[in-house]
Amino acid sequence: MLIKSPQMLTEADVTPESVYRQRRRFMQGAVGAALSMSVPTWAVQSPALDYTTSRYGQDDTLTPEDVVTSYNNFYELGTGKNDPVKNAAQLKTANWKIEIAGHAEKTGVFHLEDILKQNPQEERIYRLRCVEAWSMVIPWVGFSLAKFLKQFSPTSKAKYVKFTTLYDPENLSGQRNAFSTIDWPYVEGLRMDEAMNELSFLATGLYGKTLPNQNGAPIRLVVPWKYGFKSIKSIVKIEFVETEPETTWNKLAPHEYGFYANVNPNVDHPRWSQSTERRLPTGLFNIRKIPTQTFNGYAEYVHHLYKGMDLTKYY
Amino acid sequence: MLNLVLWFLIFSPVLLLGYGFFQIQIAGDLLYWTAEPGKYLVHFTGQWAVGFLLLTFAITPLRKVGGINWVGYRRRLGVSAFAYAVLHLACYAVMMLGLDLATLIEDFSKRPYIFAGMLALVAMLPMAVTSTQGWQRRLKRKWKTLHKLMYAVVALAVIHLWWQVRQDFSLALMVTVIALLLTALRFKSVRISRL
Repeated sequence: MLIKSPQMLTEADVTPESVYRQRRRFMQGAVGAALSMSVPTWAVQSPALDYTTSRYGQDDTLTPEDVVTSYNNFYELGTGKNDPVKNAAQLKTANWKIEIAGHAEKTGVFHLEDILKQNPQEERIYRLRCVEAWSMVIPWVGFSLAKFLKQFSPTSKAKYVKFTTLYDPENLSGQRNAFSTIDWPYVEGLRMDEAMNELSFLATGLYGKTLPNQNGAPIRLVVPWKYGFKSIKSIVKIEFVETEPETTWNKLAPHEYGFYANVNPNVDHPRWSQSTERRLPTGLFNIRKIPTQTFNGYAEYVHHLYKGMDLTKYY
Repeated sequence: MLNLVLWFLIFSPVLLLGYGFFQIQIAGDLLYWTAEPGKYLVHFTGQWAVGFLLLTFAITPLRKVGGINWVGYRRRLGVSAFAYAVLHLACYAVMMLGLDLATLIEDFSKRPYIFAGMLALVAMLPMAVTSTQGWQRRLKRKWKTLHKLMYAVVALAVIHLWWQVRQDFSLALMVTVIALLLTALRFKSVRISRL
């Protein structure tokens, strides 16, 4: 059952899925045929994905695809907002593997290809609220983090999940930046119950296509009730740990970026207010300012996780 | 010739702004200044303001150490720094805050980096006003004392930058090194000239 407002309806909603899939296969065939006619490989950077829709959609209008793929915080590829798209080729995603480690019955190194075969993809439309007070609405494609993690049977000692981004300073110019205070590689983490929440998502695509490099290819986390920096990109390692992992921004400036980093309009960043946000793209004189919602509007899904916690202290 | 080059330098940000405006409004390249043009322009105008501030600050050491007298060009450089700083504040207030005065006042009182920037702008105001020859004559020796405010403005600009560093401190460091170098050259040359 789809719960979407009419203006949110996509082609996928009004076309019977069987027809849609046939056409998709036909298009994939066409792309394949075109490819065989010696089209350079860069021409098809983002092949279409096979996925189903899901009930996770919002009433919000989608942020245009070119905005989503050109305005990124991915410091491995540069600190400017459009550096990541310019430097996207620095990220090498071929033969991607993910190491699963720590307190789980099943650990090891797994090929992303195999992971994708075992985890059917679905589309989820989520709001993304950056700690810098801008926001987007993005149609992600991917699969549930909880379902994925359960496949490795975490033990009772697994209290937190630690995620690590690719460390490849030879190619990723940001990781060579001598003026950066970040202790590479980028690390993020979730409490086990946060990771097991139904909203937590591993994205491998957006707008129905493979994730562009600048958006954290080939696989990234999406936790929509938290500030964007929690949604770590280009994951190479997932570890079940007993204690709260030291996460990158929290370690760098603990008074500015908490471990929890739940979207909270009542707790300001020391340098700006978090009570409103600018919904991108903004115009020159229309900044599209809207009020920020507690837990980014996902309170009904996640508020129980933080019962009895002082969210001004654990920000 | 130098005169012309300087005028061109001073108006080059305006030309760039005009070109960008053309790209967005007429050519239809809506993302020319990224998906958040307001933030882009705040940084753009701020960086040019700091650039002209440092150029203004460089005139005295250039004369004392380099023996090149560009004092005649200093006024327009200083006024340019002030003008771009005003534009910087205007872009922030209009394009980042949507002219929401309550947030603006909250920012001034609660956010030290904005307070430092604002203080720098306020300190530039009397210098910009008294930059004409008429005021120079009227104030006589006091004019020089008043324009020592430059040291405060440069220091505040440096603080304004460092307070915003998230993780890449290259710009803040570059400005600091240049500012310190220019300050050191002033005092060093004073000693040399006294010998």
